Amino acid sequence: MVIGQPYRDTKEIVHIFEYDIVSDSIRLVTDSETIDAVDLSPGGAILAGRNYDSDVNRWNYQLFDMCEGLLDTVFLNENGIALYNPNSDWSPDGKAILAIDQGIMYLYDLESGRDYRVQFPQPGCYEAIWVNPD
Amino acid sequence: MFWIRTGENYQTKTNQDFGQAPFWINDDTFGYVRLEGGTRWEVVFATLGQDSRETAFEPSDLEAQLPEEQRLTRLSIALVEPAGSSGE
Repeated sequence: MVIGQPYRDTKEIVHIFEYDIVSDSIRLVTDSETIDAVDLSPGGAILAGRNYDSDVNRWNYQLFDMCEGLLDTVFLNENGIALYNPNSDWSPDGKAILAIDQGIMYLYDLESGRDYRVQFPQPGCYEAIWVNPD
Repeated sequence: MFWIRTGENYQTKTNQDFGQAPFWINDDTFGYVRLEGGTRWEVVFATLGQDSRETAFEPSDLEAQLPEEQRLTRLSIALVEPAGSSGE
């Protein structure tokens, strides 16, 4: 996965590409507003990342299917507001994402398309990682 | 500048190149975004113990994939992440 960023683009649109090392070919996947904290799923099918929606001045955490483009906006609270600064990690089997924000841990299940709060606030916790698929 | 440490207790330090965002392709081959000639970024592949570099692609290759109306500005290579490197 490659992100190309235009020089001096005031709207800060970036382009997400896929480079196939076997066929030595490049393909444009989709466009996005500025994106960071990107994390490819194991196998590379889905890209997760935090991007900024300048229309409403807020960060989103979004999933991009590397074939179809934007898949979903995830980790929204009950008011539809994205987590402030989620640190996330794909499960080794690529079926779920763990995220932690302000001491609260969340789990996004790819199959159901839902996320769950799995831990009450734990002050000082700022990163969650998978050890094995369970 | 980035470098690689190898050998017992990783004591052997080898300077590699001016670049950023290094990533492994397999146990012997890695890639990174290299600043070529001080002005142009490109993604290259390299093999441990060899000085040669293979250019994989450069910004113009990315620009060529954009619709014509979007080719008005030059692209920089902001980030490269290999498939299979996450969650492992």
